Formats: sequence, C-alpha cells, structure tokens
Amino acid sequence: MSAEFMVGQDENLAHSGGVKFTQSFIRALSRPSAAVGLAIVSFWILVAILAPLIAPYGPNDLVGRALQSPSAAFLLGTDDLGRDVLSRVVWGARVVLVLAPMAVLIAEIAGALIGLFTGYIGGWVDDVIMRINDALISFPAILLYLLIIAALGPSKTNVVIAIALASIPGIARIVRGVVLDLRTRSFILAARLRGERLWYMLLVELLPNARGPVIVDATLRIAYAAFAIGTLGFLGLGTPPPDPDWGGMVNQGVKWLSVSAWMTAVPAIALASLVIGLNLLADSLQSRIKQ
Amino acid sequence: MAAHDYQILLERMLRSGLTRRSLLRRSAGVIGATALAGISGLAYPPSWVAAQTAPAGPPKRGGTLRYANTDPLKPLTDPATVDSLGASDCVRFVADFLTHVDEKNLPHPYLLESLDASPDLKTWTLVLRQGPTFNTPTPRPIDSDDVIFNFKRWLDPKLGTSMTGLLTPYLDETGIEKVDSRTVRLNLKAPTNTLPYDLYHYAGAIVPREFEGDFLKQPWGTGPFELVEYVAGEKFTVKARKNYWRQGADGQPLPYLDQVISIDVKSQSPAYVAGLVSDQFDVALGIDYSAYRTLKEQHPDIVLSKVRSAGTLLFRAHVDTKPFDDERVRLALKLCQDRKQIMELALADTAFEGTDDYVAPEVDPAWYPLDPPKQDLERARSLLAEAGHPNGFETEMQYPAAPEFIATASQVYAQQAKQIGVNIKLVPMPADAYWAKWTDWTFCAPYWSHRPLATMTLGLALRSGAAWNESHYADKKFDALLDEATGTVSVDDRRNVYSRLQPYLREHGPFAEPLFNYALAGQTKRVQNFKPTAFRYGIFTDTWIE
Amino acid sequence: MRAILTKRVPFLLLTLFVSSVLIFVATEILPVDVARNMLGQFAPQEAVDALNERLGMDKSPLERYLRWLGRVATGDFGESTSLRSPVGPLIIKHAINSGILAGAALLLIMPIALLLGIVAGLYPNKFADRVISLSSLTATSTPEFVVGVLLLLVFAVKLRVLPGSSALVVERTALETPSKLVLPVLTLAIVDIGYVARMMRASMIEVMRSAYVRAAKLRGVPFHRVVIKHALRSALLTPVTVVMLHINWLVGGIVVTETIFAYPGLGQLMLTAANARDVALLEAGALFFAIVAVLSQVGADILYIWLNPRARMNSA
Repeated sequence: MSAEFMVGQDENLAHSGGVKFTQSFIRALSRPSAAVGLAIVSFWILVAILAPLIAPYGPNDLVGRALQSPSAAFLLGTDDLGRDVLSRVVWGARVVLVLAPMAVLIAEIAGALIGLFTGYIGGWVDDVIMRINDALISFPAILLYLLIIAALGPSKTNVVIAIALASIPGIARIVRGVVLDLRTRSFILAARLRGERLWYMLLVELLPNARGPVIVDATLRIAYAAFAIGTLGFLGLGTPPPDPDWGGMVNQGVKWLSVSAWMTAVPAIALASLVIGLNLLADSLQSRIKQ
Repeated sequence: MAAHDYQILLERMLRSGLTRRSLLRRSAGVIGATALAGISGLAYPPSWVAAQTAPAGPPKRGGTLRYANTDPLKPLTDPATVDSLGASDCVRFVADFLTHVDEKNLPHPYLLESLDASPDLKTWTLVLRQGPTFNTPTPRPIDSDDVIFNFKRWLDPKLGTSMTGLLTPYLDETGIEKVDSRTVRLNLKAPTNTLPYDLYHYAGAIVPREFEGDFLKQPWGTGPFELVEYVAGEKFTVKARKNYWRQGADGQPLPYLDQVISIDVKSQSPAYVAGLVSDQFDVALGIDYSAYRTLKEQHPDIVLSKVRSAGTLLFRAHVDTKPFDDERVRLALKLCQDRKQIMELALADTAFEGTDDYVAPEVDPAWYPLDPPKQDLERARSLLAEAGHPNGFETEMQYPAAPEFIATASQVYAQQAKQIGVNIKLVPMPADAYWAKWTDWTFCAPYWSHRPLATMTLGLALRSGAAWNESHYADKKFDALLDEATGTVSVDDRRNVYSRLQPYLREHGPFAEPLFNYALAGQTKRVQNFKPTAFRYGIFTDTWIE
Repeated sequence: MRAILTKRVPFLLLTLFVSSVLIFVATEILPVDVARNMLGQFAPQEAVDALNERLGMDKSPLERYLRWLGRVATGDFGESTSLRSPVGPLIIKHAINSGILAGAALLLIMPIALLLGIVAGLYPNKFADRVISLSSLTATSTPEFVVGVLLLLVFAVKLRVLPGSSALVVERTALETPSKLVLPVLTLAIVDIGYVARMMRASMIEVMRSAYVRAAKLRGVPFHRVVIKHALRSALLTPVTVVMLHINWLVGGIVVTETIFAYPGLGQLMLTAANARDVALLEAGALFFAIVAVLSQVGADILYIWLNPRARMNSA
C-alpha cells in the first residue's frame, strides 16, 4: 500500500459484481442509520416535488414586511425583502435536488467514458491521461470551483459544470481500475478475437462490470455535490438572485443575524439535514459493500 | 435678502476660523460674497437630518483616532487620479483643497482667501490665503504658481483624472491667468456656478509644483497631517503636523488629534459593526443599512447619524439601443416603480423618494417642488403596447455588489417590472468588475455619489458627449436647459429653469430613479466635534477624543 | 526510503507541472482586461493598450505561459491588479494567517479526533461507539458555513461573548487577539474532527481484528498492552497519512470559514481574487496550494514509511 490508500480502496471496490451488489444494496437499507437517512432524503424529495402545493407563496413574491419573526401568515418569518422564508426554502429544495444529481450524472458518464477508454487502451496514452488526471485530483476542489465560476460567471449551469469537472478525475480513476482488472480476462480476449470494435468493447463488455462501484461512488458523490452546491451558493458563486438557493440565502442573511436569524438559520439547517441524510445513506451502502 | 445672506455668511466664516483681517478683505468683494451665497442658496429649508454630538466642552489634545471607511483603500499614486473615497481621505489629511463644502452643502473658501465671480459668471478671481505652507523637504508657502500647476494638471486629458470631466466644459488652459503671486484669474469659455463645488471634488487636492506624480513618495501638501504609511487594501496612518495654518479653540494650531488611522474593512458590515462595538475603532463612515439597523437596535451606545444626500440609485439604459431607444419604453420602466416598496425594503427610513430627474428634493437649493412621480401600471402597459411590446420584453440588468442595498432594490424593482411584462434577468457583479465597464452595460443599476448641485451630476452624466454620459443621452433641448441652469446666478432663477428641466427629464430622460439615500455613519461616544457629511469624507481636523 | 523518494519525486514534480498548466489555462479563460484593471476606469485607452502590450497580453498563450513560468522560477509572481502590490509578499502574509488558523485547528482536532476514534474502534457497536459514530458523521456532513453561521449566531449575536468578526483591524496576526480565533477554529475543527474520528475508528477496528493482534490477545497479553504496544502504531498509520492528504479538503473549509468571519487568510484572498478577476493573484495562490498539496503527499509518504516498518522492507 502506498499513500494512494483511499484511491486504492476504490479500486478494490471494483471487484464487486452486479448481482452481489444489488443484494448488498437492499440489505444496507435495513440498518437504522440508513433508515433515518432515507427518511430525510425522501422528505426533501417530496417537498421538492410538491413545492407548488406546499409553498404558501411563490419563491420571489414580495409579500410581507422585511425580517419578521414567524407569524400566522409567515410560518418561518420573512427575509430582508419581505419574502416568505418557508416558501423560499421549499422552492429552494428543487434547486439542490435537481442540480446535485445532474452534476453527478454528467460526471459519472464522462468519467466512466474516460476511465474505460484509458484503461483499455493502456500504453503511453493511459500514462499521459492519468498524469493529468492525478494532478487534477490533487488540486483542492474549491480552487477549481473558484477558477471555473470566476471564468464563466455564476449560474445554475455553471455550478453543474464546475462540480462535474471537479468530480470527473476521481470517477475516471475508479472505472479505470475496473478495466485494468478485467482487461486480461478470457471474455475480453474472446471478444477481441471476434473482432469487436472499440466502442463495443467499452460499452457492452466492460461498462456493466463497472456499474457497481460507479453506483456506490455516485451515492456518495450526490451527498458531496449537495454540500458543494450549498457552499458555492454561500460564497456567492451559485444561483444568481432572485431565485432561492439555500447557500445563497444563508449568505444574504448573515449581515442580518442580529436583527432576525430566521432567513439564515432555516436554509442552513435544511441544507445540513439533506447532506447528513445523503451521507447516512451513502455510508451504510459503502460499509455494506465493503463487507 | 442680500444683506441678510451676507450676515449669515459672515457668521459662518467666523466659525470656520478666518481671522478678522481676511474678513475685511472679504467684504471688499461683496459681489463675490453675494454671488457665492446666491449660488448656494442661503434660504435653506431646515429639513436636514444630521445628528451631531454636541461638543462636551473644551477640546482635549492628543490621542489616536481609528476609523473605518467602507469605501476601499485602493492603490494611491496621484491625488488627481484617485477614484475611491477611502483613498481620497488619505490625500485630504495631507493636502488641502481650495474650497470647503460644509455639512450643509455650502461652499467656503479654504486655501483660498476669497473666490469671486463676475456677474456673468465667466470671470473668476481666486485669491490665495497667506499662511499655508507645503511640507516639502524645504517648506515654503503656497503661491499662485502652485495653483496654476494644479489647474494645468486637471485639464490634462492624458493624466486620466476625473477633474478633467468637471472642468473642461467651462475652462481651457488658455483661460488661466496669473495676476500676481497670490492671485489667479480664470477666464471661462462658458459661465458656471459650480466652480466652488468642483474645486472640492475629491480629486482636487492641491499639490506643490514640485510634485512628480507619486503621492506615496512625495506626500506633500498644506494639510493638517503628515503621511506615515499607506498600505493599499489595508490601512493608512497619518500623524499631526506641527505648524498647520489653522488654529483650534485654544489658540494652538490644529489638529487636536495626534494620529489618525484608517482601516479598510472591505465593505463587510459585520466587521465594522464588531469593530465599533468592541472599541477597535471610533468611527465608521458610509455604513450599510444592515449595519445601521443592527447598531440602532442592539447597541444604543453607538452614536448614529444619517445625513440627507443627493446620492442616488438609477436604473438606466442606453438610449441608442433597442428597445430603450423608444421613449415610451423608458417611460414605462419609470412608471412601473413602486418607490415606497423599494425604499422600505432596501433602506427603510434612510432613503427618500427618487424623482427620475437627478434633482434631490431639499438637497439642491434650487430644487423645484414637484411631487415624486407615481406608479401607474396601466399607463405603463399601454405605453409598452404602443411601442410595439404588448407582451413586454426581456432584458438583463447588471448591478454592483456594493453598496449593499442595490441588490435588494434591484430585486424588488425586477418584481415590479414583471407586472408590466418586462422580465429582468439580474446580473450581480463584484464592484470592481462592474465599474471596470460601467459605461458599457446596456441596462444597469449604477449608484451616483452625492454632489451638492444637481447641475454637477447632470453635466457629468447627461450632457451630450460628456465623459460620464453612460446612457449615451444626446438631447439638444436638454443641453440648452442645462446651459441655462449652469449660467444662472441666483437660486430663484435656477429654480425657474428647473421647473422646466425636471419635468422634461422625467418624461424623456434615460433612467428610472427610485430613491436618494442618506449617508449613514456611526461613532463612539468618545469622538467629539465630528460632523459626518453627505460626502462621507473622513475629516477630523476639528475633532478630538475624550 | 530513498528508493520511494526517487520514484515519487519525479511524479510529484510532474504533477506540479501539469497543475501549473491547468492553472494557467483556467485563468487565461477569464475575460479580463488586465491593464484596464490596473490603470482604472478613467485612464485613456492608449495608456491601457500600451500597458497591455508591455505585459505581453497580445502574445500567444504558449509564449505567455513560458514567460510566466520563467518569472515564477525566479520568484517574481507579478502584481495584484486589485490590490496593486506585489503578489509574493501578499500571499505569504495571508498564508501565515491561514497557517495560524489551520495550525490551531489541527492542534484541537488531532488529539480529540484520535481519542474519539480509538474509543469507538475499541468497543465497536457499543453505546459509546454509536454516539461517536453518529455525531462524527453528522459533523462531517454539515457544511462548514452552516456550522460557522450557527456558532456566530449563538456566541457572537445571542450570547455576545465572542467577536462577530475576525477581521484583523489593528493586529498583525490573530495571535494578538486570540478571541478572534476561537469561532473560526471551532468551525473548522467540528467538521474535521468528525472526519478524522471516523478514519481512526475504521482503522482501529481493522487492526483489532487482524491476526497479529488476536494472536497477542490469545497469548494472554493484557488488553491495555495489546492496545498500546501492538494496535495503536498500526492503527495510527492510516489516519495520519489520510490527514496529510486531507489538507486539500481542508482548503475548502478554510475558504468558507475565513469568508464567514472575515478572517484575512489565503482562502479569503482567493475568493476576492476570483471575484475581482485578479489573474496574477489567482495563479500564484493556486500554485501555492498545488505546492502544498504535493508537499503533503510527499510528507504522507514519508510518514507512512516511517510508521510502518513492513513497508520499509517491502519498498522496491
């Protein structure tokens, strides 16, 4: 073992096959912490889906006086523009729950393609790509975000791009690990002898075997993506106003903390609960798989 | 009227420390006094809100005053190219200006002993005070060659100073005439009533003629302090000078303070609130509304002040770009404003209604009393339909991140514009990025700092071809009205012009103006005799601390 | 040891090189008029063009990259356009502040997290473990800005026992006013303790299950001696090296924490540089972090080998 311990672990994950994986998945959900995680995440998914029905007001409607404490009309108070905090938190759930999976999906697809390709091709191409890949991995993600969004400007799309770009190297490595392991197996050699083309090799023969580790990675990454979306919003690099974005709402509320804490505390706790829930889920999944 | 005005002017000048002798010399230029008075309008409505700490007694000498100016301490090289209030403070401690505009927006001769204008406002005579000396390596008194040196610099387009935009509409280098070692005459190519105010613009500090361009290497001036250090983005320190030409109430030269330190708090309100509260600094200028409210509600021991100012927020458009080239579209954008809602949410009681014409009610003495325009959604929609946009249209709007309230005001305005079908996509920008290209944005929300006379802002922003004409507005009728206004001597005449200019701009101008705001400041109880002004300058020459 | 280093160092230099290319590429996409930023909005266009030419903004990217590398190699990192002062000293000053923050946080984190992890790992699935595990997971999942804002709310706003801002107004470093360090350090620590504690716990469990330790127990060695003499050394292996690698992740926490509390560290500098499109500052700062990341990897390797005698023997 070397200091690439963490990465090495992921490569070991590559050995899980398809059927075994599904069984483990179901078993994982029976643990209490997983149940809690599932409950939290389901709650927020429901909130996001039912937003038009649950939210008393629209996300940007100016409906009350600014910075009020909770009242009958505004169950969680109002923010500095007199908008209903409850409504904005409810509508804001959609932002996180759409952007996080989207970013992870893009990253998984792109990362898997890169990993499949470079692992299979091998040789100097693999070396070069992996060097660049490792350099990207060793780069603090936050700096990547800063640079990308400073270049492209803050918007929902660019947040997705930034998070996806930062995630691709890790995924590529995992998938490449699977490929390296399988490259010499007989069914691969057989397919090659049959004269199958490259894309067939990658997508039909190799990709299904990577499904397990990719899915496990994805669950953890969605948690991380939600975390990152919140953080980017807090740094002012996320969704531009006026649309609700939990991290952005916390950012705008900090200067009003002495006057009214509701517009800050509620989205903060909402985001924390979502990320914790996602992590609980991913954690029980991971420990199950390892066993 | 004239005698009464002159009496008040005399009193004011006495209080600002002029000696008897120069007063007598002053009275010889009665036309000058009246002219000065007439321009500024001494019949001043008493609607100023300026909470002052009543001086608690005889001044105490010594001590260090630390203050925070929310305007960043940008890099400082040449005083004439300064473009931030924070940095300009540093210059002002060390170098004086020819005039001084007080907290009531009245100008006084400062380095000058007198400033007189001919009745047609085209010939101005500047007489220098005797006494002020430069703290150059070999100190020497100021003379008219220095003044001429500064004027020539300000008129030089290669220098890149904002003074050029202020002066070139009425002054050329050929019009500068040295009369003697203390007197300079300006022969203007166009009449103006803004000269005393322009000389007080923050880029107009007087440097000695030996100055070569780098203030940090040659921090020379006639001011009450000397520069110790200037660290851009962090802080600057100035210490009292020994032989300033003005004296305090105890007969000794000013300033009372030993040292002043200014700290750049990077416009973060929690930082300066915490600093004020924990006594890490004594004064905070230009504070945001969130800080003001936090201090008001949570820390009653901090003395707050709000001063009515002509600082204003605009939602302005390029008049040569579709769809804003159609006047009806612009008018619709003005009519959809609910000023009360914008003001209440963005600034509460620290703003007053905007007028869509730049002239701040009860700030500019010549303001013609007109009610602020009312919201009229019906008319706005029909105007849009007439102009070919029955379903509204979409547009971007850039706005800077500071001052804080702009984000709130823009969001509220965007919601209001939605009601007439105009979909505004808000584009917040870091302040630096916004101001780097501020004249390029088609539709945006700039903030214009306080200027005592509306003609100053109008000239800079709306005259055809002016340097800061960000909306590309070119209207001969308006130019004529503006010329009329800048050429009037008396306030009443000017008010007469405004009675035509204000409605004209409201109808045809390129911007919607939701509000004017108050300049907010906070200080600890220790600080005595400091009067925050609408300019937000840190001027502590007459201040002492307990 | 030497063998590992000779194999790793070239790799790490390569990583650094690739990082520099990536950084340069990323910052060069920024649509920035560097000269305009430096000279200000009133400067005449000819002066702006002249400065741009002098800065080499009109040359090809490759040429600019090589020039940049050359300057960097001699220690010249250029001038910050937003702060108009040399980038090098600026980075060092802010890095020291961040270093103080991170150092104080690590001093807090390491003993607590290791202790928690060891206890949890020694008695897995018992009550203590469940509490520790759950709270660790919660802590590590909570974004730093949530923790920081809540701490701010409780201690600075409601209880008013700590300052609401850690901006260094009159001090040189935060060490002069330690109360300003408390909340930022706590914020970083809470999140990180969770992470390290979980690492330690996992490692402890694995070691306690290992044949080596079980053999010792069978031999009748007293429990505490088993733990101290045999298990700990191996168990510490993973977390310590992981913490070194964790520094990258810590950077993210530092950026957020410094922003909440207005603490003048490198994280806050990077954020303002990104907002101001200050290319020179961004490049130098990113390079600094890349170097720190690479050095921490080297450090992790050395530490691993030093702590693990078996690896020393097996190193090829």
